[in-house]
Amino acid sequence: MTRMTKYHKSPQRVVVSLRCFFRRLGSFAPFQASMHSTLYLVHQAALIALRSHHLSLTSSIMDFMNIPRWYAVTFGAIVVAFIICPAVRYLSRVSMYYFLRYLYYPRPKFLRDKSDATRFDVVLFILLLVVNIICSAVGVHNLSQAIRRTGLMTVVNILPLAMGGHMNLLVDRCKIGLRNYQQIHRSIGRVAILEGLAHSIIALINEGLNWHSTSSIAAIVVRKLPRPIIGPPLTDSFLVSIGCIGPLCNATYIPCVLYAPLL
Amino acid sequence: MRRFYEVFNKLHLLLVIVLVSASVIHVGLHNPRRDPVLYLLVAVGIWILTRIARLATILFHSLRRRGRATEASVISMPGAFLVCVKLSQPWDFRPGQYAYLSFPGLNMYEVFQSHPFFIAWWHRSKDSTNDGDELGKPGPPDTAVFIIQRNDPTNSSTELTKPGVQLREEPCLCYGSRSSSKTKVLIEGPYGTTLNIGSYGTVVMFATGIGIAAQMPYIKQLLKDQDTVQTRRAALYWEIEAESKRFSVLGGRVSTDEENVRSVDGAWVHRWMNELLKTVKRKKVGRILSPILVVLTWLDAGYSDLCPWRI
Repeated sequence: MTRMTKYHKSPQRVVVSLRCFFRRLGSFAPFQASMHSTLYLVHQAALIALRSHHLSLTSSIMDFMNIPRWYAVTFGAIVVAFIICPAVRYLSRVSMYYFLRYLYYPRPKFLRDKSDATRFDVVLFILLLVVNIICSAVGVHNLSQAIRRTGLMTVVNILPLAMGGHMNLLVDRCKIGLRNYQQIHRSIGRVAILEGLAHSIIALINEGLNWHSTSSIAAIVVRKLPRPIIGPPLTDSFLVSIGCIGPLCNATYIPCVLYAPLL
Repeated sequence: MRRFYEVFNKLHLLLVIVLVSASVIHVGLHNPRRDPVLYLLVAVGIWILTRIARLATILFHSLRRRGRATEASVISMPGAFLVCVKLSQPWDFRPGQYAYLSFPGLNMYEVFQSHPFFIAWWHRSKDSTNDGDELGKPGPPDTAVFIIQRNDPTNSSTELTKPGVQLREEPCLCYGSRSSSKTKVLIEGPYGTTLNIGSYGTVVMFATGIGIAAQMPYIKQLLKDQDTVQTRRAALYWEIEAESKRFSVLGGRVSTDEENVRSVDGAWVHRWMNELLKTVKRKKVGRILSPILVVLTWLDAGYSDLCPWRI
């Protein structure tokens, strides 16, 4: 308590202690959001370290062709910008009022009686979607590449989803609130669903109704499931749509109506 | 609705397991260094680690310490349950904290349900004046109090207060000796970050009904540090959905009579409110208690001339 009060006792003090700064910053929502996405960066660093036993870390990062990895790194860069760049820090303090007033608190009219999503959540979702579309489109020249890319992006999006909608220590350390975290969880989930659907639809278009595909889930699941019920080509999309049901199941918070136009 | 949510929550988990395992089979495990496989394995690892971390916090708070276990006494009140959780391990209380509670004492299925609740009030063992160590007894434990909403009619007994196995005269620290039922509790936390409202000159708080649970700790903290914080003016607007004739007993001087309070909606916090109002050192303390709106203000005399609004 003394720590807190000592700082607030002297508003004249120009040099803000780092601790207080971080405390302020921690409650700043874009920072919270970007902190969440640093998780991407952490995973990515771990993966790079895992994969590049013969290469140095930097040369792996310089692998320009790996778009999904850049997707991850971009998110982390936001955080780095926040911490390193003083201009951003200053702007964040100045724009706090406008941010809270016009982005963080207002709830969009078209969602008002359907969910508790704020404008910020919608913007975050759209941003996530756009970035994901860019990442699954850049450098893709044919359909088989598109299949591979969308599949990979789906899996990348599953990483932060794996922490679940339940609050946990890591997210709490990042000073993300429960409501925000659940919104982010849903947003990423929706994006992952869309990408998974795109993946299976493109695969269906490209390969057609392949009744003898053995390398897909279809074969595995069909071996277990009775053949008359579900045909092999459908199982892939069937499984993805099962995955869609899951996030949709948080029905107490988000009515399915919200997703209907998205899906 | 709540059961509906629970069912779908479990279904969600099940379907995710199906999805992930199907995806692992889909991409093929023969080359674990391929990107998708690696990502999936990392995802599974993250899931397992978060589960372990959550389990560890629950287990830590379930440990017995000095012969004391974590247990909850549940006081049935109109509109809500007051759950006093006596913690075996010390807890660093701060406003804005919340914890996940689940009650395994009720039935087995409850173990797998946990819901977040704000800590509405606390008793620190350090704060208590009667030092039990002189008498050879351990002092009172750290106690966190939660307010849990109930949607059933006031007098019906529910699972939490079923007169059964463990009904006992167990004094909860905040409400003296009242009959309360004791259950086992699994507590996971603390989570949540504290807003530093002591740095603002004017603080206005709004709450509706049970939402007061989130505001009480802030009021408590603010008044505890009222000599040092920057805050000069503070007001709490609390709207209560209550029948006016019932609440009128609270009008004017807040009643301390247990019997009156028992039948009043929104009475969960009135004792704490009284306790807090006694500690206000400012010159002006305003208190308006109307049937549906409770307004508490405390103003510094020096600032009240500048105050554009008065209550």
